[in-house]
Amino acid sequence: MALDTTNPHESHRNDNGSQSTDMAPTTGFARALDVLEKPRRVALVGNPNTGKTTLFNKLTGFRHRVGNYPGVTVDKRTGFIRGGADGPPIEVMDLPGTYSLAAGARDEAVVLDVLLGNDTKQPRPDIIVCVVDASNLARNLFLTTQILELGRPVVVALNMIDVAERHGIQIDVEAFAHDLGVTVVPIVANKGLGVSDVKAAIINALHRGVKSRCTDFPACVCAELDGLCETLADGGTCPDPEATRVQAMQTLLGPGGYHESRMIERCGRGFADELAERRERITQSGENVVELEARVRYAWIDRVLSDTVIKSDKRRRSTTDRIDRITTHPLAGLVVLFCIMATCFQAIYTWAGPLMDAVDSVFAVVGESIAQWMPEGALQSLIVNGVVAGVGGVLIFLPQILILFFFIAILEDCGYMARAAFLLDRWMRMFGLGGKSFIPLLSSFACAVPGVMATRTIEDRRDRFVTMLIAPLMSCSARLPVYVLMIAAFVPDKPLLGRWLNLQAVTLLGMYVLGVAVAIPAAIILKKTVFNGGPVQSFLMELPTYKRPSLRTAFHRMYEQGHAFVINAGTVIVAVSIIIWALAYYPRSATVTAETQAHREQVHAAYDAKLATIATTLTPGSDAGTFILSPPIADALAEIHAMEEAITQTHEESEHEHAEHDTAEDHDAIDPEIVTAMERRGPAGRAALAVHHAQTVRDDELARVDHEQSGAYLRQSALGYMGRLIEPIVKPLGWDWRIGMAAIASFPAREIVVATMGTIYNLGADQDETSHGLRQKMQAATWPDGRPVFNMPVAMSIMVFFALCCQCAATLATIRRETASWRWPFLTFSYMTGLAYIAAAFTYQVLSRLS
Amino acid sequence: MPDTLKSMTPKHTTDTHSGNDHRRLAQLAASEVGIVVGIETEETNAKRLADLGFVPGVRIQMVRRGTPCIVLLDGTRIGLGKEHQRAIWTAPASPPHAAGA
Repeated sequence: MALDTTNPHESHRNDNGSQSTDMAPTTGFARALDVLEKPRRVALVGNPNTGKTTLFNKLTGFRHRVGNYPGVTVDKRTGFIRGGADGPPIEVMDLPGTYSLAAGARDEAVVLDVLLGNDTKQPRPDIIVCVVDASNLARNLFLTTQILELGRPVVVALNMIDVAERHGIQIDVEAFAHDLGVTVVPIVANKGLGVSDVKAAIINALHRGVKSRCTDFPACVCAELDGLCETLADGGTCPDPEATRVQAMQTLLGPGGYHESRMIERCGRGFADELAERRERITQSGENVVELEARVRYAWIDRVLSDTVIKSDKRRRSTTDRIDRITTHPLAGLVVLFCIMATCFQAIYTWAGPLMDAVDSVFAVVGESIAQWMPEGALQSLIVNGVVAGVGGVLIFLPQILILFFFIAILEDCGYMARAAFLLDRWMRMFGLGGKSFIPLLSSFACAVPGVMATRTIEDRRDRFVTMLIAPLMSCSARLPVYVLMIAAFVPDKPLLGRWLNLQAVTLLGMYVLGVAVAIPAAIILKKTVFNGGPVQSFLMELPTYKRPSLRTAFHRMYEQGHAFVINAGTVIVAVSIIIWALAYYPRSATVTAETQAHREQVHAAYDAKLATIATTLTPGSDAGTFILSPPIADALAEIHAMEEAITQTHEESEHEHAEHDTAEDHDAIDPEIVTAMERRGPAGRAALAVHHAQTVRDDELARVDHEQSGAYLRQSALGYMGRLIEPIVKPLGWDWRIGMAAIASFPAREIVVATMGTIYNLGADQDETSHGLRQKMQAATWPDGRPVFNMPVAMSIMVFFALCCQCAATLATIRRETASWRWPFLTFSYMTGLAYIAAAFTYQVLSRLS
Repeated sequence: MPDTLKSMTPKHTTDTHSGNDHRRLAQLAASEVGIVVGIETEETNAKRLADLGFVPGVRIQMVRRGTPCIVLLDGTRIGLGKEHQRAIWTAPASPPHAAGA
């Protein structure tokens, strides 16, 4: 094994470990008890791109769960490893990647909080595994030296040792471990080499005490640190001396940083003054407070590395440099980026389509079978129209979201995403954002929920909030059904520019462009008003070495993100769907029930009368009930049904799309083949034809009554009332109360508007955007004075409204969680709804005057 | 925040840099190597850069000029925006004649 050459002295490493032990060895029995009493916890820390998560996955065998750190929504991955042959399981946490304990971004702040046990809900980790990139030791060791002072056993995993060797970097692991005073394990995480050694080192370290090692700071700093430790200890904020010291150092040497504001918040104004005095004294002794920590630590690191690492300068023009020449080129890079994005989106729409149809039909079948199986009533309606429809409405987007996440995972894993952010930084600056806003906004084209969550990596709070607030303007997949319905029904399929484009496709593209076009000024305005002032956070991002992406990791990330989406967005959408269902269901008008019941009885009576007439004409004096069951008639009827079925089937096979609708529309016109077959049967055949016709008429009538009833219920419901209430408001948009009502009903999620319109136009809720029935009904809908409700301007105004509005409870709930305040979701909803209203009104007014 | 907490010590003011051959990172030519002599910016940004390894004495190479630019620091490519490029002061790696004294 390649690793043996770099670390032949397994036993020596253990010696090393015991050198740093200064706690009294506990007896085996007490130790066993201790282990039994509390679960042991290991935290994995390291810089970004060091293979920390890869090691985590290998340690836990990809079996782990993703949760949140209390209070903040940074993903917290935890899994278990077996503690030795018969030992108890050890919990492993994968902490977000960070360069320093002085936190910048939100997810970095979590690291120190977890390591110091600031977070009271979970105990401090017992062991810390520091993952460092062996080919990049100096910069990686900065964090390691901070970690070494925490007073916890540390295992250093020297990852990518193979890459380091290829770059001509030789590390004397023994000497290195000796200088650091901890166990050092060389590994190649992506190949799984050395992972078992890490496991062994963790278990080994559990049974040893530790002496924390401190980097030597100048005497004046140490004095101030000691003083500050006393203040903090008096405040009772930290669990032990080491933790207190680390907290004190980060507070003292990080002016204006996260820890400073946190401690001032906790210890009060007097603390700020004390801090200022102490820093002043350090400055007077000729030290620079800001650079001090870095200077001291890097000096120590340089000393260690000069003794333990030999660098033969073998660095040639690497592959990464060659790729970067193109991908980071201001012009060629943009072309490459555009090609990659175009490929991704093309793939998303091509692959997701069939999967979405599949999800849709599964839920349609589930809904139908529940509807048949359960007795009709409120509960059935709740389950079918509330729960099943709600869950279906969430899962329909899963294919697109999963595929997008897969691509993002691949692009991130291979190192390209950092280049995309780098390349777009100067363009994003123009509207007040940075390159790091690109990935969240890109994700938002599938769904704004993961987009909003992805803003966590943006350090600048104002950039992060602006990105979050404009992310819902990107045309997400939930808008597509609305666009498709409206475009298919009201935008003519006219060719443009020869046969290259057509009006429908251009309209669809226009809707996507609209979101981006509005997002740009929105970002500029938000940045100039609500998020004004403060220093500019300029671009700062590591561009990692390119590497072959791991499919397994990509699938894994896709699964994780998909899971998070279903849980986070799903619960909200389902909950709000149920509320909207209730608004649309209640109050049930008894008059409507009675009226439609009477109507139904009339239909049945008419059918019975017809049947009786047919029966008496054929065999006078016979009873209608026995007549229909008599052999010649029953046989003939069975034949008609069989023939009809066969005809429908051949139609479906030959012309899948249209056959259904043709047969549905031409119900009355019976196929000539059937007529001839019946004629051959004589009078019985003709009678059967008449019976069949009567049945068809009855069934159609009953279906119509059902639809009318659901439409009437909806009109009488709370939602219908609300729709009529807002009619004057939506009139400038060219909408009638039914569209207004559909807009209210679609608050949980935009796509619901299609189903709601189906119900409102008396078609039953099982409508989708391709239903010809809904299209025709909408085209036929009229105002009370007979003018058609829907025309091109109205359709455009609906599309523009839904392109810009924030009709998505899940997004708002996610913004609430990410910002820990109702203020931002409220602002998002109001500015987007305002914009949507104005833009839709403008569209309608202009278009209706033009046409 | 009181002014006394500003990160700049006298040796890092513009005046000192203008007298010798110290240049801002932004002024480095493509593939030119420089040695970091100081960081001159607002505290949190300065601390971030320092923690990342931009400490006095370290060698950096300009890989791609522009805003943002790419520099090579100890084998790592780091993208740096305008303000950071202005904040980092460098001295020539192999000065043609004894620099600064």
